[in-house]
Order: sequence, then structure tokens, then C-alpha cells
Amino acid sequence: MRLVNRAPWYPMYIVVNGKPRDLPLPMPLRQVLESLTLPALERGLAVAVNGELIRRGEWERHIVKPEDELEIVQATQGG
Amino acid sequence: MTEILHIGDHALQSRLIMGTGRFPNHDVLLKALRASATELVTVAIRRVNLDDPTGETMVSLLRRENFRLLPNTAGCYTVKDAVMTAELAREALETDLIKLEIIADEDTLYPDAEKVLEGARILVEKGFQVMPYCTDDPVICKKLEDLGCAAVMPLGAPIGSGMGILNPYNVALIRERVQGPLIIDAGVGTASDAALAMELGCDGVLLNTAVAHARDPVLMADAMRQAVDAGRKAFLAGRIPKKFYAEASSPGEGMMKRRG
Repeated sequence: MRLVNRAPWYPMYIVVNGKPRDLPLPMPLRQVLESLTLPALERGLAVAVNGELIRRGEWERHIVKPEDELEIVQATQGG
Repeated sequence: MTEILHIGDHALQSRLIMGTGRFPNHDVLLKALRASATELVTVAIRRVNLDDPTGETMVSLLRRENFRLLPNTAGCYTVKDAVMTAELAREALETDLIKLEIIADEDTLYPDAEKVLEGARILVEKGFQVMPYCTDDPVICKKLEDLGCAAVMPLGAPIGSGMGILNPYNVALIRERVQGPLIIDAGVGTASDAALAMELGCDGVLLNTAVAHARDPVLMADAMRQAVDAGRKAFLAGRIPKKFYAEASSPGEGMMKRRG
């Protein structure tokens, strides 16, 4: 599914929590999170890339590629 | 009398587990949780708001108050989504506890028993301490216990309905068959519902809307605390059997002579 109308040879975006983001890809997951100004929340966060959990210890090593889909979640009120 | 409830690795003095959703604001939520004397509270796993990622999170508020967190898989309709949510929850909150919720139907929010069994099997294998929200079916509850769940949590009535314990006969049957922790989850509307669940032999009650949507949530939380406590004590004390005819409490002997 194409979320951004771009030339097919230049897909430099990822989808974060359902919204496209332009980034100079590829880059390590930790850098992606820093670019989203998320470090303050780091402790309570969890991240999945393309439906796979990426553990905190792997954030430096895991390389985010164009068109990857990220889900960044935290706990919130619920029953 | 301090009786400890063991759920997985957790030892709890309070038998009331509280949901944290649908409260009017954070202040009322925290006051109600304190009034309930709960130690374990449920939280949902949702996307971070990337437009405002710096605000104090719910979790830091709850942790500051020393509540233990029970993440749920609310909103999941498939085993795959529930397992993914559980894994994200474990990573985010550093807890193996998970309230497994796999819903089948939007109107009733009824658990999908078949998927709950499958999800529980997978999560137990992955090392989670699974607390499945399930139907009040003695067979399903026993199967969940046999899979190695840390507790089984049948509904009293549909989520948020406040209809109370609709099938006390089933709850009593479940109590007979399930040896481990048995928690009534969902359906409690007022204090007497929580007391009834405990009188039937449940080990605890999980509730949310009955407190969050009460006219005075903090007062209702206090009522629930007392109801769970009273119900537990009544269960341990043992109720008298119901009888068709009256039985005088005062002695029949030594009566004065009847005149007139």
C-alpha cells in the first residue's frame, strides 16, 4: 500500500504509527527514535518494526529501511 | 487477618484488581485507586502520541504510587495481535504479567473462547504469566488452568454492562473445578456484586467502570474495597444453608406462662 505519492525509485519514508515520515534512510532504529524526540520516554516504550518486536538492546543494531512500518507504543489507561 | 493472594510470582494483600480506564481525570483516578487499596492495576497498550511525546505518562504516575501494572491486550480480535501486544507490553513495562483479552464481537465484547485458549497456550510457552479474560464456562476455565495460566478470569457479565454476576451457578461450578486463582473480571455494577463474587469463592475481583462511572468514584472505590473484604470473610466463615421454614434464634424453653 502506497501512503505517499512518490516516484517508485526513491522511497525514503517510513510509516510510524500509521503516518508517513521522511527520513534519510537507512538508519539505526535508535536514531529514528531520537529524530522523533522520543528519548525522554525510552523506559516505557516498545517498538515493533513490520510486526516484529525489536528489543531495547537491539535498537542500535537494527537498521530501519525505506517503507518499514514502525509501531511505537506505551501503556495508557485501560480496563 | 492478612491473607495473601498469589498470582504467578506476585503476592497481593488486596483481592481487588482495578482497571484505570474511563475515569474523569487523573486526579480522580489516583484518589479512587488509593481508596480501593488495590495493588495491581490494568493498563492498555496504545500508540505513543508523536505530536506530544514529552507529557508525563500514565505509567510514571502509577509507578510513583507503587501500583503494580497488569497490561492487557484489550482491543485485540486475533491471536496474532494479542501475542504481539503482550510482547510489546512485556518490553515496555518489564513485567511477565498479561491480561489476555481476545474479543469476538463488538456489541457484547464477549471473549472468543477458542482464540483465548490458543493465545494462552502460546503466551504460557513464551514465559508469560497469563491471566485470561474468558467466558463463565467451567470447561473453558479448567482448560485455561490446565494450560498453565496464572489465574483464570471469567466474566460476571459483559464488560461495562454493570449487570453483576449473571450466572452464580456457573461461578460456583468453576470454583469447584479450578484450584488456582479465580478472578471475576467484568460485569460488576455495585458493591453487592463484588461481595457475591467473593462469597461464591472467587479469589478476587477485577473491575473498572463500576467505579470510574459512579457518581462518586472515590466513594465507590472504598465501597468495593469493603465489599471484597466482606465477601471474602463471609466465604471463609461459611454461610448457613438456606432453609424453607423459620428457625427461632431464641430458646423455646423457660418461657413465662402465656396469659390470654
